Amino acid sequence: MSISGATDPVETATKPDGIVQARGISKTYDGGIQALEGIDLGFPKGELTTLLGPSGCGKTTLLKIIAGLLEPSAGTIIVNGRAVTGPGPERAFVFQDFALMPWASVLRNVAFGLELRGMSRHERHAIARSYIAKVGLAGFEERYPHELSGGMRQRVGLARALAVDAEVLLMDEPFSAVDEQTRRKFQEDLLHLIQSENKTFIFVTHSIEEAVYVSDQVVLLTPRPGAVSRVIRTGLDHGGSPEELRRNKRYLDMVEEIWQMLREYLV
Amino acid sequence: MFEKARSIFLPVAGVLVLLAATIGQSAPAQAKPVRIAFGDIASVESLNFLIALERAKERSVEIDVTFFKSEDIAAQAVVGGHADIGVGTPYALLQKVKAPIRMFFQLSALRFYPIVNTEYYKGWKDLDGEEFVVHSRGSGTEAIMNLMAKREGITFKRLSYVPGSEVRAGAMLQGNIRATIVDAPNRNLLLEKGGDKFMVLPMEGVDASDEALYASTDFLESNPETVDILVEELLTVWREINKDPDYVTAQRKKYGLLADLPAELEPEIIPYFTESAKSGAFPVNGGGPEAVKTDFEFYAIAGQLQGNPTSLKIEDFWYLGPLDKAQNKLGRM
Amino acid sequence: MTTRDFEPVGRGGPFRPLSSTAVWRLASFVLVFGAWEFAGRVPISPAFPTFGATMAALFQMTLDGSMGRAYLSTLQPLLIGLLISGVFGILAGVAMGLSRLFEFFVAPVFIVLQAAPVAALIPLITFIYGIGLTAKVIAVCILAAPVIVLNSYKAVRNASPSLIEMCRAFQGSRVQVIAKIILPDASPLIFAGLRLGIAAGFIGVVLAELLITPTGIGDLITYHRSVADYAEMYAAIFSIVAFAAITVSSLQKLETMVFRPEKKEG
Repeated sequence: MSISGATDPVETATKPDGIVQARGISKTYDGGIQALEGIDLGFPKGELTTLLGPSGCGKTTLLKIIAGLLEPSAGTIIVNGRAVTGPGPERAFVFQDFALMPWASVLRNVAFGLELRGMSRHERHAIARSYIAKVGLAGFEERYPHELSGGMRQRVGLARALAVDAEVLLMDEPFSAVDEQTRRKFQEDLLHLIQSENKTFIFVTHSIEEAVYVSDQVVLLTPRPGAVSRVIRTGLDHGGSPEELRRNKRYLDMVEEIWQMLREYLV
Repeated sequence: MFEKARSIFLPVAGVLVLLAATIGQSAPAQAKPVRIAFGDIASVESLNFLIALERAKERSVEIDVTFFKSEDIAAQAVVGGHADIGVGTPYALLQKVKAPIRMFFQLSALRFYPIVNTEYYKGWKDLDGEEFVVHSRGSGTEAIMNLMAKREGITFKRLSYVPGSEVRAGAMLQGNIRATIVDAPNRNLLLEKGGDKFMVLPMEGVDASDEALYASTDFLESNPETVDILVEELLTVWREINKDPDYVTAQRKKYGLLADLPAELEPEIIPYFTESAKSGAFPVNGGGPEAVKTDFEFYAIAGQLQGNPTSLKIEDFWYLGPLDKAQNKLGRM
Repeated sequence: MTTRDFEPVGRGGPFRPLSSTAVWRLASFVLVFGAWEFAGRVPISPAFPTFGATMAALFQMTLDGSMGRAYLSTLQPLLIGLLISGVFGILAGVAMGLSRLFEFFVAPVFIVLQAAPVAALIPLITFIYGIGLTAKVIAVCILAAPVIVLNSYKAVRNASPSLIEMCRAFQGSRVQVIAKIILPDASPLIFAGLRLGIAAGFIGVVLAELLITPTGIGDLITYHRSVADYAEMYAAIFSIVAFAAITVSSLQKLETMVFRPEKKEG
């Protein structure tokens, strides 16, 4: 199977519409390394889209450009019809390394986005407490990050992103620093969250199973410079039980199919 | 574990250092050459001493001079057995520590000059109730000023301390201080640069030792020939200088001493020795019982010696044998 | 979501026996002072007092007020110098960490100062600033400031890029990034620099008191040495060493209490 850029999608061509749109995004770093080339993508509202690709393909770079943390060398990101010039209140980021302030309690970490907005202590703590409970950390409000396991720390990172009530959640390999059992549990919890929160998720991973398991739409990127290779709609029902989903034939076939596509890059 | 390892390291290191020091102490101290601990860097003022050492070397005494930062540290070297002969006036050390050490030759008498800014003071009486700057607490200059205050019937508001004649002279020139006491070169400097602005106050009859040679009794008793040669040569050189200060420049040339002395300091050699000799800074008889008695009085006032000066015994501080012998040989003056 | 598998890690129980660190520390003190007493009794030198005699002298000097007077005078240049070095040192270091331009102009001065054998500069200070309090304050600053400046600078420069990015992602302004992320993240290193600076300041003030004019502790050391009261001299040295050690370790405790609450337990 030959793969040649973004013009030959397997299932549905995602038109550049949706709440978040990438238009002609290219990125070349100062050292001359080109990370991304000509990315055109749409991220439908209320869905979870995964950016999947071999390591070094620029998926995290694309996510940070969407977040407004990096500037693209060419192209524009449109969120809610407006061009992105930097971080904005409608987007929140969950970091691969958690990025928790070690000197701050769980409560302050979760409330940090609101603290930066100048919300009163009382108000932001109330909101933070509710999200801490939502991610299953009730009772840990006064603990410090170093007292928590890796999985718990990422729940804090997630609660912090949720607390600012952004429409779009950008998650950069959020489970990569977490052990396998915790990761599975986390994936299941994430699916519940998507159902209940009605937010748009953009998710970076290098795990095919994870991508198919949690996504409505999977974007395959080519190796550096990253370009869109395929956009696949999973068409899976994420509302059912996790056991069902993991045994679902369509799920298993799709994992296999994507693996066949990706393995070509791994020479 | 690292924390523990580190906390144990320091004391262990400490014990090792102390043990090493103990062992070093017990090592024999009579090995040649004679180790002399000098409490100052070599300068014009030490030329006379250096000449005497050269002459002793000609009489096959091996000498190894080490220059220390201060007399106190040089004294520690002698007490610790790291040097055989020291230069200074360690009266307090001898009395308090009861180290088996004796002085055996008076190199120089204290020659300091009280000097005042004439804008504020014209004589001793004007200093009553005023501040006066001396070298340091317990120093000879402090003792001189206490002695003079007693004689003149005045009391200072307080004595403050600035070590180093050149530093005090500098402070006088800058106007930071109004009255102090300095050595001869700095007195000359002040009079030369300040003219009428400064005035030396008259002072007579203060004759205590400034520097003397001392060594452990063990060394003095087991190296009589060396000590005798050293004392004879010192006495000879001192007498020559008192006769004719030019002797210093001639001998300096002969032995190539202080070869790297800056040219602008060279003209200072003769005036310094001429003046010092004239003022009696270089005793012609190496001290002796009378000088020691004067020292007792003076250093008691200085606070270096405790107790009634008349009850102090010469033999507890001085070892006068070699000096006696040398005077018998070279004649008394 | 549940937390069934996650037990908190890294918490000590409420009751702890005397920690083994404390036992080792005590043992090391006993060993050092024991060795001192032993060395004084040998004696390794007639001028080396025993630990007991030194402590007796310390007690006597404390009672007769000479120790108190000495500290009153030593603490003046020390405190003034440390205050100046602390405030301006941290400000300069932080500014250097934040601005490349400032770094370019200021960093070399402090790098040279830190590498220089400062004791050799002290006579130079007296030429420029005379022999009074100013000269001693300068001596303290010259010793204390470089390490404070350079530590603050490195601390700020090495502040976690990940946390800074996080703050930006949540729309933190430049001021917020500095105040809420860079400074707290840098504070342990800044404080380490401050502790080192204070230790260096003690060196500075004692050097100044020994090399410029003998006041305070420097006077006690030189005076007692000149009159051969060695127990008193060692007592003065011991007291300033102990005082410096206690000051620096209390600062460490204060820092943990005030700035890094998460380090209090565990």
